[in-house]
Amino acid sequence: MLGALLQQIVSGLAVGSVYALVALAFSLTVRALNQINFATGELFMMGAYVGIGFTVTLGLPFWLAIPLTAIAVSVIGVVFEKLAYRPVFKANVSHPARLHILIICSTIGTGIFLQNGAMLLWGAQALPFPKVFDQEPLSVFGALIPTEYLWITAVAIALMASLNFFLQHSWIGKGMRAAAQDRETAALMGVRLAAADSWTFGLSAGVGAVGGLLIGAISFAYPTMGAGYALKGFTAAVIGGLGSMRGALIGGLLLGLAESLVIALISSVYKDVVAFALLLLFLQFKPSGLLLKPVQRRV
Amino acid sequence: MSTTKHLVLAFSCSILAMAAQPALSQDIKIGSLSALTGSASQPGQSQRDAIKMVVDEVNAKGGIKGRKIQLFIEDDQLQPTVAANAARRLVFQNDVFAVIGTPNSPTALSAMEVTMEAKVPHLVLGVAPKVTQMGNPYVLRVTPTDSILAAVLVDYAVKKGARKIAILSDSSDYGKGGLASALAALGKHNIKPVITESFNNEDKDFASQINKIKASGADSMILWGFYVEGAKIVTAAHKLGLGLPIYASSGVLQGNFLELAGAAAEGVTVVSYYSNADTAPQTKEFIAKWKKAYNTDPNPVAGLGYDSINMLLAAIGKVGTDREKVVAELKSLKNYPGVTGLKTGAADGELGQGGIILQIKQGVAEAVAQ
Amino acid sequence: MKTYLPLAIGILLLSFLPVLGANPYTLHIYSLIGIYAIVAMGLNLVFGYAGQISLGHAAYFAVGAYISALATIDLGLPFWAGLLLAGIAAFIMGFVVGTPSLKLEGSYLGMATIGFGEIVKMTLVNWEAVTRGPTGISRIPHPSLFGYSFGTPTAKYYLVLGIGILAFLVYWNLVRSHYGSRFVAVRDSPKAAAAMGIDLQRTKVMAFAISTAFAGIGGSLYAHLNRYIAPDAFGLGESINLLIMTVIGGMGTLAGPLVGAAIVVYLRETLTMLKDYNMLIYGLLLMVLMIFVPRGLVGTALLFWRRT
Repeated sequence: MLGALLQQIVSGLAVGSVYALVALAFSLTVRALNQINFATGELFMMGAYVGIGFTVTLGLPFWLAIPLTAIAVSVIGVVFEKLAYRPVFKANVSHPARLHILIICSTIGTGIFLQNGAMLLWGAQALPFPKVFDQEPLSVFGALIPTEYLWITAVAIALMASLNFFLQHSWIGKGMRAAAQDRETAALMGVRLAAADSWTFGLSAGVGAVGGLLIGAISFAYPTMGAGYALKGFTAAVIGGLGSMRGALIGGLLLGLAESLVIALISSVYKDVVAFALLLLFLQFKPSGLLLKPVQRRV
Repeated sequence: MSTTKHLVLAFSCSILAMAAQPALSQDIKIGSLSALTGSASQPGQSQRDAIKMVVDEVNAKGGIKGRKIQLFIEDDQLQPTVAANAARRLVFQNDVFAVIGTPNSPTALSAMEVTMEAKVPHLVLGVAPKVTQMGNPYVLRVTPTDSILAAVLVDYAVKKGARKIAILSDSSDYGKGGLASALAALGKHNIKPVITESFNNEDKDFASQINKIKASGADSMILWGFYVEGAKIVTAAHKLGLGLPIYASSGVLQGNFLELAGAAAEGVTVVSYYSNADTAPQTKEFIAKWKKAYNTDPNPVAGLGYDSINMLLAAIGKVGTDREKVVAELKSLKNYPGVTGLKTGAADGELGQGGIILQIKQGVAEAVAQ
Repeated sequence: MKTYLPLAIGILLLSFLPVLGANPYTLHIYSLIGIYAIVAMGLNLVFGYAGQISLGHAAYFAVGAYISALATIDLGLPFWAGLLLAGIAAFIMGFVVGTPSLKLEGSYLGMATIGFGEIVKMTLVNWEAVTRGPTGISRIPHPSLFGYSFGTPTAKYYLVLGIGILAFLVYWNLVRSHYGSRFVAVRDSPKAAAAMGIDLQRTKVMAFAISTAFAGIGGSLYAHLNRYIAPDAFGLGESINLLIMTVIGGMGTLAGPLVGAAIVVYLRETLTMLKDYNMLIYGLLLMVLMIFVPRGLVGTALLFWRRT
C-alpha cells in the first residue's frame, strides 16, 4: 500500500511539474500584459509535435530536442504576437478594457488555427513518441517507480530555474520585469516595449511547449492534448498566484499532488473535479493565490 | 445601417440557398455524414473513405442500371448542432436518397431527428442502443451492438477460465454501456466481477486503477474503452506488472492502438466485428481494394462503411430507388456476407449479428477460434 | 425616432424571408440565427454594456434547453410553460453563480465562468437519471401554443421571429433605461459610479442574471427546434461561439447580436465547403477580424456613419 502511494505521489509530482510549466506560461503574459493567452494549450501541444519532428524526423537526441523545441515554438509564439496581437493593441476601440477581450478572442483564434493545423500536418491520430526513458523502473518499497517521472520533474524544475535566472540577471529579463511593473516608466527609461512584449509571448510559448514535449515523451501527441493541461495549468497558476513564478511552481506541484492523492485514496473518476474545485475555491476565497498579496485596484 | 447590413446578409443567404447544384435527375444521391475534422475524425474519415471507394468503383463500371451515384460528403465536427444542420442540407438541399453515418452516437441521434421526419433511410454506424429503440422505421444499423459484442467477449473469457473478473471501463457513454452489457453477460454465467474501476478519456495515468485491480485478486481483466486510453492502459499494466489476461472491447482496436502500445499489447484479446486477419473472401477482397486505393490497411469503421454502402446499393439495384422498398429489402436480408460479420435483417433495423475474437500476437491481431 | 423606421423595415423584411422560397434547411438556419441572436443579446448586455466577461454562457443555454425539454417530456407541461421555466431557471442559476463570481475581475472572472460551465456540462453527462446522460434527449416535441403545433420549419421560423422581436424589445428598452446607463457606468468608470451611489455588485449580478435568462429562453427554443439535445452541444466551444458572436457583431450595439449570430452561423455552414481546412480558416479569420474590425461589424459601421 505504501508502495502504491509512493508511486502515486511521484507521478503526481511529475505531472504537477508539467502543470507548473503551463502555469508559468500563463503567468508570464498575465504578469507583463494582464493578458490570458488562450492558445497556451495549443502551444503546449505544438511542443509535443515539434518534439516528435526533431527526434523522429531529424533523428536528434532527446536532450537536444528540448531546447530546439522550446526555441521553435517560441518563434511561433512571437510570430503570432507580432502579426495578430500587436496590431490589436493599436486598434481603435471605444474603451481600453476592450483590448484585452479582443486579444483573448484573437488568442482563441490562434488556438483553433494551431490545433487544426496540427491535424492537417500530422493527422488526427495519436502519434507515438520514441522511447526516450528506457531504463528499468526503480523498485522502492515494493512499488515500481518509472524513472521517467523523476526525469520530467528534474527537467521542468531545471527549466524554471534557468528562466528565473534569465529574468533576474539578464539585460532582457530586467527589461521585461521593468515593463511588467510599470510600463510607462520603463519606456521612459529606454526599455523597448515592443521587444519586451515579444519576449514575453515567446518565452511563454517556449515554456508551455517544453511541458507538452515532456508529456508527449511519456505518452503520445494528439491534437486535443492541450485543452486539459491548459485548464489545469491555469488552475495551478491561480493557486500559486497568477503572475508569480514561484507561485506557478508551487501551485503546479500542489495540484499534481492533490490529484494523485484523490486518485489513490478516493477514485480516479474524480481527478478532474479536484482541479475545478480548487479553482473555484481559490477564485472565491483567495483569488490572489497563496503567494501574492491581494491586488489593490487603482482608480 | 445595421439593418441594411443584415438585409444584405439575409438576401445573400437566400440566394445561395436557391442556387441548386446542377445534377442529372437519374443520379442516385447518397449522403455520408461523419466527423471529418476534430480529434475523433479518424473513424469519420474511414467511413467516408470506404463509401467513396465503393461509389467510385461502381460509377466506373457504369453505375447501377446505368444510373450514376452522386456522393455528398458532410462533416459534423462531432457537434450535434452541426450534424443536424448537415443532415438537413443533405436531405433538403441535396435531396439525397439515403444517409449513411455517423460512427458517433450523439451526432447520429441528432441527424436522426431530421431523417426520421423526412422518412429518409438512415444507416447508422454508432452503437448507442437508443438508435434502434425510437420507433424509427427508416433507421438501420450495420454495427453489431455492444451487448452482442460484450456477450461474445465474456463467453470467450469464461471459456478460457476467467472466474474472478476485474472490469476497467471508461466513464463515457461507450464505457458505461459496455460495462452494463458485460455485467449482463457475466450474469448469464452467474459470475459477479470482483472489482470494477473506471477512468476518464484523456486521462494520462492509470497506476491507481491498475494497482487496485492487482490487489483485488482478479484472474482476468475486461477493458472497455478507446484506443488511445487502451494503449496507455496496457502499457501501464505491462510496466506495473499486472500480469493478467486482458479482454478488450472493439473500441480499443479502432485507431493505431498496435502502433501506440507496441510490445505491451502482446497477448491482449479483443472482441471485434472486423479483422484484417479474417480469411473470409469478401474481407480479403475489401482489404485488397482498400490497399490499392489508400496504401494502408483498413480498420473496423472502414469495414462498417464498406458494408453499409454495399448493402444499400445492392438493395437499390434490386428494388430501385423507392425508400420504403429499400428499407424493407434490407430488413429482410439473411446472412448477407459483410466484412464486419453476417448481416441478418430485423424489424428494428439491427442488422449486425455476432462478433469475432482476435488476439494480438507479435504486433498483429489474429483471429482465433471461439 | 431614428431607430423605429429601420426596425420596422427590418421586421417586415424578416417576416417575408420564408416567402422567398427557402427550403427547410435554410429556414432552420434562419431560425438558428434567431435563437443565437437572442442569446447574444443577453451576452451583449452583460459583456458589451456592463463589461463583465462570461466564457461559460453555453451552460445557461444548456440549462434552458434541458429544463424545457424535460418539462415537456417528463412533466407533460405545455411548451410555453417550458419556455418560461427555462428562462426563470436560467435567471436563478445566473444569480446564484453570478453572486460569488462577479466579485472577480477580468481574467479571474473569465476562468470562474469557464469553471462553472464545465461543472454544468459534467452534471449533464453524469446525472443520467434526469438528463439521459451522453446520448441526450431525443424526440423533443414541437413547440405548441394554444393547441397549434409549430411543426413545420416555416412555423418554427415565425415562432423564433416572434419571440426574437419580443426579446429585442426587452433588450432595447433595457439598454435605453437607467439600467442600461448603470451597466455602462459600471463598465467604464466603476469608481465614479460607486461614488454616485450605484451598487456595483448588484448591478453586475443583475446584468448577469438577465443575460442568463436570455440564454435560457434561447435554449428552450433550441431544444424544440432541433428536437435533440446532448451535452456535447454545450461545451466550451459553444460558449466561445457565443462570445465571438457578440464581439464580431459589435459589443455594446443594438444590432450587434443579430449580425454576429448571422455571421457565425453562416460561417460555420459555408466553411464546411472548405472540407478539412474549414476550422483552420475560422481560426485565421478570427485573428484577422480582431485586427480589422475590433468594434465588430455594427460598431465599425456606426463609427463610419457618425463620421460622415
